[in-house]
Amino acid sequence: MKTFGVWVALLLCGIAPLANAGGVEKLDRATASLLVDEDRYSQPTVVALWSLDCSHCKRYLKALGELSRGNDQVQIITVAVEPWHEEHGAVLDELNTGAQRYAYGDEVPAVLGYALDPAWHGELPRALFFDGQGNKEARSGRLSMGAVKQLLAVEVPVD
Amino acid sequence: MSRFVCKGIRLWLMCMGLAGLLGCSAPAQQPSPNVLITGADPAQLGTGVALSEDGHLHIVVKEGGHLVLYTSSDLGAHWSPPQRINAHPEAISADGENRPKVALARDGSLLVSWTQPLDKRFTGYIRLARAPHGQAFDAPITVHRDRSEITHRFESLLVTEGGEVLLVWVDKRDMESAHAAGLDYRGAGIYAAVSTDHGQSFAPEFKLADHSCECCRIALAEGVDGAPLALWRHVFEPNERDHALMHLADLPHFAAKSDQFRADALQRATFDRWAIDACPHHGPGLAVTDDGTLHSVWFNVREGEGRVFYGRLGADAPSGQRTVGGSLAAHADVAVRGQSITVVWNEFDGEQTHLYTQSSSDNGDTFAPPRRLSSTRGRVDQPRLAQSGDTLVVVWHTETNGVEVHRL
Repeated sequence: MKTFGVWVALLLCGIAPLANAGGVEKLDRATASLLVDEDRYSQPTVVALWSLDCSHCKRYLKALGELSRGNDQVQIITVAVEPWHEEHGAVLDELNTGAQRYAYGDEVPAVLGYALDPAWHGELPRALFFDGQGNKEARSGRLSMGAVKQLLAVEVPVD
Repeated sequence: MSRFVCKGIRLWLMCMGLAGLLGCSAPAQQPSPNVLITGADPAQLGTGVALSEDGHLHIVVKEGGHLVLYTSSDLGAHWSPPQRINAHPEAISADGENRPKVALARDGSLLVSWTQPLDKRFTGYIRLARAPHGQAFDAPITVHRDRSEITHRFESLLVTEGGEVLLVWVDKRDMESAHAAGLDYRGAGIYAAVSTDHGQSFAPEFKLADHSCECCRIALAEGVDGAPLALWRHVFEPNERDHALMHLADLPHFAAKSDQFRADALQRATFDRWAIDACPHHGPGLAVTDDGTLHSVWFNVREGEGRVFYGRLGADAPSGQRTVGGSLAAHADVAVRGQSITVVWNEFDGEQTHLYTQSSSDNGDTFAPPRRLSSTRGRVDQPRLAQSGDTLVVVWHTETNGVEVHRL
């Protein structure tokens, strides 16, 4: 219980422990529910769902990483929606994105997907946008960074 | 009554009570499905299914580096021992949209096709193995002449009434060429290859269309004129992921002279206008009634809501378009018998995935209420319909229940 409390505190601070090689944690149902709880975010945050086989995802993750580096407020959390693989960390390193990184653990993928976003049908990329003020929006597809900034309510010029 | 029997009954009663409390009991009034437990990896349950004219049900699953054939002469009550299809192990795709396929050639041969992933991401070769007259499988062949390490994936297999063997797949050679020249290219391409010797060899492949979606299964069906129909998710300008339909007439001619192939104009078949740069991983289904009506099921996001749809495809927007199942219905398949239409699909409820079916007896104008056939808390494959004459079954491969066969 104490460990769980520490973990939640770290999550709230945006520095969840990264135990696995490549910095990618195995996601379980409880963590998935925490990741998408809008009340836990006090800064603009994107939870980006992706997979190794999704070419649109990689371009999107790269752009999100650049957005985050250009704006300290914006936090990017990545979730590979497939069983954990060592390649996840390598790809994310190459794309230089993901302050926190997750990939599906051992539970049934449908259960984890539902915990992340019950309205999601499996299309990728899919992202959940938290403005840090208690609001959450989910969007499929590769959005422009202008649209992302709008969803995050980030006060920066729209490109 | 022995102590063990009493204990067994007590356990059974406890289990039934617990199952009832958890809401996970078998659906009422459903016959017990006939079950086969395979050696498939739970993450790769993709299953090929075919029902032959003599009533033999053939299924193909991936077990390690091999595809394996199981056959049942009584619709799943009993199964043959597994038969290896590829003698030498190789990489094989066996997920939902990219599963192995099995079909019966007109000379009695069994044909099995699959995608062999290569080392580089998104790449693969289309492979086909043939078992002449039910004997052992010959060594598999790579169907296409192009051997670049690029996408040749998501193949579909059809044997026509005339005996031609048709393979259609997603191919990125034109995208690669465009990108090498610094040009944009929307989506991927659709290519086809035809065999006129029951799958022993294939004529050079030819392009059906540019700008398909990159990651969805292709539906093939035979039209009333005997010509195949192909239906796939397309990327219409600028980025609308609706469906395209193509009528593939005169296959024998193009099998011999594929460079002369001129497809009928590609026809837009759905108009949901899902404008998105994404990989939906959700291809359509297609079946044709004797009057030539094209019955389809597909997934799209329409007016902001993602749903599975049924509709009759035509020159314009589909007629009779309606939603299938609830908001999380997925991966539907469709079959026809006379004017009767049968649809099956998966539906997750947050805890379990259910297999549903629904039928129409008036050519798709109205449908009876959905019927739940089975449920599981484990991983699932997409439901696969297989038909021969009036016999129709749905095969559902799940992690917990194995291969279920439900006669419809």
